[in-house]
Amino acid sequence: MSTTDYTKPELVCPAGNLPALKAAVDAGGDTVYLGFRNASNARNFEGLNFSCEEAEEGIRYAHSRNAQVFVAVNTSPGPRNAADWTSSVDMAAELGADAVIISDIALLAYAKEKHPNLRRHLSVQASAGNYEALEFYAREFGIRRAVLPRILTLDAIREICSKSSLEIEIFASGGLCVMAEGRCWLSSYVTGDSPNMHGVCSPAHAVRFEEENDRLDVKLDGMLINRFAPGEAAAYPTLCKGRFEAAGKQGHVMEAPYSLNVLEMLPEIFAAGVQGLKIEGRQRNKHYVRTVVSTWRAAVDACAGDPDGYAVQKEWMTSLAATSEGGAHTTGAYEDAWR
Amino acid sequence: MLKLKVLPQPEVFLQLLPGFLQVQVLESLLGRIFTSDRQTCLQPLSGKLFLFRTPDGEIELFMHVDRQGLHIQARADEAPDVTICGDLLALTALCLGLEDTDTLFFSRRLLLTGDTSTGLMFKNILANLDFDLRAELDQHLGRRAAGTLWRMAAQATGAVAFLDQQLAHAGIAVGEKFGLSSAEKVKALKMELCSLSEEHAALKQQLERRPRPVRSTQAA
Amino acid sequence: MNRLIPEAAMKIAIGPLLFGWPEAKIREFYLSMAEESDVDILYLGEVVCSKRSISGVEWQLKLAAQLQESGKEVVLSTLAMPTTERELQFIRDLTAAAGEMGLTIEANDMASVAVASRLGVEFVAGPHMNIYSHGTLQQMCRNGAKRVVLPLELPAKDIPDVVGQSDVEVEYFAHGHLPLTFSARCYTARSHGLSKQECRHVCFLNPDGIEMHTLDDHDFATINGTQIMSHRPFTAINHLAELAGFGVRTLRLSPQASGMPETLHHFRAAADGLLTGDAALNALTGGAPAHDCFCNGYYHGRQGRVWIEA
Repeated sequence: MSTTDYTKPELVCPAGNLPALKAAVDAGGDTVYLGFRNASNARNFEGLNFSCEEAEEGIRYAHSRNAQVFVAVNTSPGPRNAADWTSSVDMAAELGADAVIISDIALLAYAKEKHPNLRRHLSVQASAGNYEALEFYAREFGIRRAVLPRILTLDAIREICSKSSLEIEIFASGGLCVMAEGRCWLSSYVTGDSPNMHGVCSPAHAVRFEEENDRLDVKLDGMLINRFAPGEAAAYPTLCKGRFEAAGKQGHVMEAPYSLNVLEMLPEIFAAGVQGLKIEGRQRNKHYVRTVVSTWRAAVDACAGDPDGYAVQKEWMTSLAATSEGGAHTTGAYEDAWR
Repeated sequence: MLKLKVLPQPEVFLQLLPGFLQVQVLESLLGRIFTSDRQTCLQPLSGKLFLFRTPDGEIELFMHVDRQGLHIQARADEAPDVTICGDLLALTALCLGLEDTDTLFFSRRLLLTGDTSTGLMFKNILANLDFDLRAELDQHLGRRAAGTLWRMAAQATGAVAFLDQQLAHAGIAVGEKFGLSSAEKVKALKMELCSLSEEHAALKQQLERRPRPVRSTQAA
Repeated sequence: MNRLIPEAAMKIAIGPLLFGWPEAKIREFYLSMAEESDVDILYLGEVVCSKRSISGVEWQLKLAAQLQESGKEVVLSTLAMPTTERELQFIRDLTAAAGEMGLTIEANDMASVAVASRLGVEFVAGPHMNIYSHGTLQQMCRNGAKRVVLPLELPAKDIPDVVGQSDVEVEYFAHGHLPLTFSARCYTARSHGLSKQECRHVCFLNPDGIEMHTLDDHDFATINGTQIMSHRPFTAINHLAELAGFGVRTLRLSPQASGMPETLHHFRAAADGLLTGDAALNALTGGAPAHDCFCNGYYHGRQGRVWIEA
């Protein structure tokens, strides 16, 4: 691998609230991404996200420290409340955000027309996993960057980077969505609320934790979706990572709750020309953000400084594993064998 | 703003306090932190009753929010809407926003039963706070005691970090400290370390001799 | 609702087969559906997993030509999550051929929209194209959609707001197992202890998918290769008059291994007003309670898996 062709990707860090935003910037994040308090973004949880004033302060804080802010308006505008989405885009422009992250084509068209100078990024919710789709979005809607679905292999990512005119951002760390995002109706099938329409997956109102002799049962809309043995690490109450029975076997029929962590693959990711490393976790607090961002900062700087001599440090792995769902990590779909 | 670099691990400073003070610190810090200008952020929790308890039932605190603000009491007439069960340190970490709280749930140190939506709202409201813990402690314990406590806790934190490193080199992954049996061992070792300090013993004596502070929050 | 359907009769479409069947079985199924007078449109093509397209584009085009001879409208369905060059080329070849044959394609990914619009071929926007608002519908039409299939989770009462004054044809997924997700991992292979790479086409052994239950023995979902589907089929057979009132002109019946001809006939009778909605539903269930046989929560804007009495 040539040592001259490496692009140092941006660290794009989650900010579920203002303290987390500041923690991310202070820990060395190049960019933070946030959402407003409505269904226009896919982490529409109670008490999370930014008011206009908080967003304004966050943008000021980030910009004064040479960090960027992207605003996620990445769910699907609804039949009667599409104004929540367009007004969120307007607000992002007004507050001086560096980009909006969008998946819906009508919203992309709106942003392009109303705010031509506001950078448009394609959200992972658009599930655009091939360069035909990506070039179409680039041509029609003038997007400059796309966040790739987490279900692509590194080979596929490499190919897209080489063929596409766009900047490419990939998820590097945190919660792993095993289904194509923006095309998953599992949550609404069980709870009535979905990421596309309501900005939530496994909404808290449908979740119940019940303990019996140290065994933890997790129910979603009254349906048992997981059972944790005494002492076993718990996970978010999502269906894709639940325990079920199929073909006579019980267990994680779909996916076990591991978190994504591509530290091992950094040199290859650099060489592929990836522009952004996205860290998942807007629902996490400032301590998680500080730990994870500072770990990734160290790793990315180490790799950029000496890509051929890069080696994953043990303390990075333990820091990330300690905060991750399931307590373990995987490179996920980036490796073929996972399928 | 929290000066994160010198923040001692919460379990260390809290365990340096004598038992009766541990609960009081939690209670009144909650009351102090949620000063009137912060209490508007608590309004989404209005009308909901929270119960914080330890698994052995030794500590039980009820909390509710109304237009006057946050109220903490030892008893309640109604069933709680949300129950959060965990060891004292985990509860403190949650309420004072001292640690990543989802990690506490994943590692089974905290359990949320009842109305999950309200519990999540509570967790997120707390996560949105930025306050100066050192200044709050100063007010509660007095500047000198708080300062000594803070300094000792920072020292103990250094010792604990050293111990963690030793354990890591010995092949025990730090991540495993959240597993039940390993956590007990590590905690015990850490506390032995802390209890060796003479200064710690002296401070504990001093605090024992102080008159118990009048509770500044409402009691049932 | 029990009134007769007014004006133009609704069209009935046999949707693309979502399950994994051997090609001979697929051929037999579609040829038999082409013989049915109650069918207006046939969607043919692999949407879920490209490994199932063993004989490639030629096989699909040959069958499409045969189906065309029956006089039905034939639509070539495309893959929902193409990621490899091979899969993209398949879509290009299919779309080019569709253009030559005077057919449309069903786009289930923006790649297909891109290819169709480049080659000047009209397309049907499939149910996974996320048309939840009027603005999105208009944008999709601007890109070349001549028909749109609405998202399965969109409440039926929202259909008029999404459609607005547009004269695009509106299709509704009216019967069949609900396709809920797409993934890179194959869950059928996984349940047989295999990976997607070495799958040996085990999905062909489960023409109705594999049932998934909760740990305490309740029904949950169906595994279909890289896709998770509803446990029970969805049906809106008892709401056709209302759907017509909302602007729906085409009803999609998603293929199943058994009972399709009967399902088709009951739908046609109900759509033509020869059977009331309740009678049609009863005919489908064979007298059994509807909540034991079907789900319809999505129609009512509720949890997809429940059955709501009209």
